[in-house]
Amino acid sequence: MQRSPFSQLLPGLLAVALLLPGCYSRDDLKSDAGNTKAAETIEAAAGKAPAASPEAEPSATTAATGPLKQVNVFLEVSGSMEGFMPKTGADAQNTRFQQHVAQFLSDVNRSASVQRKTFYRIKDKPYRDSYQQLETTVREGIREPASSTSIPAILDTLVSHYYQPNAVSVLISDFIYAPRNAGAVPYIKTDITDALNAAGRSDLAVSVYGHTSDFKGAFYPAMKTAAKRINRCCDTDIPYYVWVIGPADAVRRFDAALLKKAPGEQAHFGVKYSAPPSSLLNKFQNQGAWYYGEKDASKRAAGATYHTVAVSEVSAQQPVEFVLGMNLQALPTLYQDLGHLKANLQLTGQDTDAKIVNVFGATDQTRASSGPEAQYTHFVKIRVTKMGKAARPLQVILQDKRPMWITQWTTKNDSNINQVGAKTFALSSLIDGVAAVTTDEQNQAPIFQVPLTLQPAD
Amino acid sequence: MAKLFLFGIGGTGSRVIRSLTMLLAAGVELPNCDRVVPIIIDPDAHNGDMNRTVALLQSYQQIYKKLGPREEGFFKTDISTLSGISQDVNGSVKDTFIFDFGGINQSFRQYLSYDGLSVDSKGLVDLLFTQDNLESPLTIGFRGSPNVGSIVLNKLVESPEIRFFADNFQEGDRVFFVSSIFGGTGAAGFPLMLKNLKDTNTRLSNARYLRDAPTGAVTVMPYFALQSEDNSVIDSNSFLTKTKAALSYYEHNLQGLNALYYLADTPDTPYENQPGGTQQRNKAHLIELLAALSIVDFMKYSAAELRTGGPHFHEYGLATDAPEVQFNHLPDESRELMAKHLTQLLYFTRYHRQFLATDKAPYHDNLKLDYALRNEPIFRELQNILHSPEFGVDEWLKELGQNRRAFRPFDLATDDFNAMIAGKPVEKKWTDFFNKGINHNYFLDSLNKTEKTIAEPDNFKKLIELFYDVTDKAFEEKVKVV
Amino acid sequence: MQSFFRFLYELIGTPQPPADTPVYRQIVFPNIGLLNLGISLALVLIFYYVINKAMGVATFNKLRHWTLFLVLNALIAFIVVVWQAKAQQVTDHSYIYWLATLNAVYGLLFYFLFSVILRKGSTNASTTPF
Repeated sequence: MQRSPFSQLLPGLLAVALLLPGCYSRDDLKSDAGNTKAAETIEAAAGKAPAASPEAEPSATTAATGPLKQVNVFLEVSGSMEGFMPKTGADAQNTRFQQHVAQFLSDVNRSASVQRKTFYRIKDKPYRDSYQQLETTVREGIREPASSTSIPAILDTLVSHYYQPNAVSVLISDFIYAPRNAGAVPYIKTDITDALNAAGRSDLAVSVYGHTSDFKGAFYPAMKTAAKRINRCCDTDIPYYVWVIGPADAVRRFDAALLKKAPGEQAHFGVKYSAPPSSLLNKFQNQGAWYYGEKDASKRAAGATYHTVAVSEVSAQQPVEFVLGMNLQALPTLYQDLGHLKANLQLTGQDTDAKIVNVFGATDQTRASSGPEAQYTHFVKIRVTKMGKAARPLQVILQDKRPMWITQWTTKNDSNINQVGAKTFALSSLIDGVAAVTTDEQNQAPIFQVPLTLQPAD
Repeated sequence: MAKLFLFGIGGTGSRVIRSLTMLLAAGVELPNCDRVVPIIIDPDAHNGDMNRTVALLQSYQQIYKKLGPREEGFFKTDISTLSGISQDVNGSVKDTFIFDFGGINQSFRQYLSYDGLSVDSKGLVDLLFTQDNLESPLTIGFRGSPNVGSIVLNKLVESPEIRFFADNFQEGDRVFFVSSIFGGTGAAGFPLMLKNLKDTNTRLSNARYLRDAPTGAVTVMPYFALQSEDNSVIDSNSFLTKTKAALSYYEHNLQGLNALYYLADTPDTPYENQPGGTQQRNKAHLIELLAALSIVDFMKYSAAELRTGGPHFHEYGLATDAPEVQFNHLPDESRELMAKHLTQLLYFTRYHRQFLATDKAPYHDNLKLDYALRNEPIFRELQNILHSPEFGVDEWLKELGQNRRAFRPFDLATDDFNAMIAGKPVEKKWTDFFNKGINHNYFLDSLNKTEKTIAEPDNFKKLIELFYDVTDKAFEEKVKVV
Repeated sequence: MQSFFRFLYELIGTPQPPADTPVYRQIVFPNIGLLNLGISLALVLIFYYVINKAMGVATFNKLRHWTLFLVLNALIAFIVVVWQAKAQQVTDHSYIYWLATLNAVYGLLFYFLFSVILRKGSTNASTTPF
């Protein structure tokens, strides 16, 4: 047989053989130049909105490694605090305040997240204490009640003298601020603002944790219209607060390290959070003709996230529904609360009727799933029946709305505290003062926003 | 345009010309010659051997006309009628391979005008001829009677055919005679024809060319016997006697002959005794093929070689005396001369018969054979010359193998191309999976391949060339030697 | 090239389910398209140049032999799609089989086109299929 024709064919056959396995796979996919361009423009359009996203915080990310340098814990031990820390009697009963604060101090002292821990009692001014001394004070009660110091003064001191990078101050107090007279009440906010602003800290942040405790002792109302003090108070629980004050980054990290599981209520001011990990989920409760619009969506790389919805067909009869998965674990519990999210998650977009139809948390089923939904703690379902003819940004935003409890825990008159209940005088005003310092009221930054792109399928 | 004028005298002449035609069809080279002009001289117009030889020659001629001259190939040499070599001005020469005796349907007595002869002349005639001789009609030839033949044939020289022949004879042309020595027509005709052509006092034109022309002859001596029949005019027992008489005449009376080939065999199986007419249709015989080879041999010599050293005499001997002659029984020279060509012709005719019409292959499509085989006359002519039961190649090969001294180089019964050459099967190398020797697939592949390399626009010419090339390759690649 | 294959394969409509559209358009379509072209070409080369030329087989050139390869090619084209769908982990959907059928049809087409273009170079099948 002649071999020559076959050998001539061989190279051709080899080329074919090489061609066959050499075609597209997820790893080496290269899209057409045209597609890339189109997709880039869309990206650029979408990119405008999230340009100011918290991701662009170099200090936050660099300092986030390693423990905090210092925490200063201040416990107010004025007479008004005695009811939280009554002297241990024969009945050996202690208050929830004692249990909670003792545990908290212990936690702080033990924490590896902070290098140096210092403890202070606040009387007329902060006095350095050891952990043991302060712990004893909490457990065994205040032995020598000090005269009260005004909240603005304390805040001023903390901000002026204890403020340093990578360090926070924790103030435990009932935060009952009694203005000198009734006419001064409207200026509570200003007082607080001025106090916090005294040192001109630009990155000041404050986290407020509200707790209630049984109270056994004399209650000193701020409004002394009825009585200067109410002895043997109280039949109702009395609120007390743990304020974490410091540079935004330090506060965020302290919150995350030590107050993650804090019971009670919370509110955060000036704390900046990085955007939570999120992704659209194309095979989780999806409906209608849409798919990931990212140009490399087909790669389906492990851990890849998607934020572009390409819709091939949508109408009222054929609505498109897609679910955005978010991992909010790194955020304070407040922002993981479904009630808070349902109330405050907003969707903004153009030329579309897209709206959030449901917000729900991870279930056992989603956590056990082999799909990407397993990575997310929260899900936002969005429905669209109408959209623009070109790519439009669409954003899921958690607005920085003050939690409801602050208003609920506020009273204008605490002179009759047993009737008023577990409320604090002018709490809202105090918080207003904090907010005024920590937030730009003209342009309130959201807690986080997830930028999406809604585009017609190409 | 050197020509060979080939005079085939008597039944033997026809049969030898048949074999020569087959050799030429097989592509055997005839050197020093562009054209063969066979002239069959046989007064027996109904002789079966002659008729089928003529049919074969006509078929060959048709095919050659279509093919034209080529370097090599099947039907390479032109075969033409006498009138075909030149325009005959007065139209007295018919376009045929047969010498026209002008219908001598009379008895010898009438031919001699015996009754009008003087008493003296009658006495001489009675002395030379028997009563049988005188009464027998000339239409069936001279029936083994040279004495009768010599009288009649002597008059040939005056015929328009011979004059036409002489008029068109040119320098370089050659003359060859085929005759049997023991018959009637041949034994008498050959010396007569020779004498007349070489006659210094001839009235024919181009006398000098004729005289100088290289001239050869093959004389077939007895190689068969006839069944003895009491009443038959031809008695094979007289063959030897007649041969001896003729030879003694030849010894001194063949002037101007350059080469003489003698062929003989010991008679074995007697032929059916048919003195002439359509019944005289003998099976092709090895002797005739060898006689045809002598013509090829004669043509191989140059004119100068032939002229020097007086007449050259040739005899033929087999390498091995075998009742069934195969290629390896032939002497090397003959084997080399025809083994390959005959094998090619066999492959061609077998493939043509078995596969050509039904093949579905590119060569077939490109030659438009589906249409051509059905509709084009030349393709039907090819069919005739290969497969005609009268004069076809198949029949000729078959007949050669049916005599007692059989020429059976091929196993015609097998369909396996590898086994067709008797005693020389194609070696199949089993180590090479794809090598199955010569089979239908081999030919198909080769035909398809070769077809692409031939740039001949005419499909018939291309077909012939294609099969010649392919069978040539098959022989060279697979058979190699016999 | 992607857009070419996309055009080719979306003649029967967009991929289903829609969520797998990017995978189909960017991976599955080019893969099956190239494979289909490659396999069609390979089979044509095998038929015309390996069997009917290099191997010297001259009796495997009939329309039925050619058709055998044609059908084989269509079958492979069908299987390739099902295999690719599995390999790329797209959601199981009847669309896969429609796509496979379409690919088989394209396989027939490609094989035919390659045959027409390449048959002339073959020795024994240069006039197959016609």
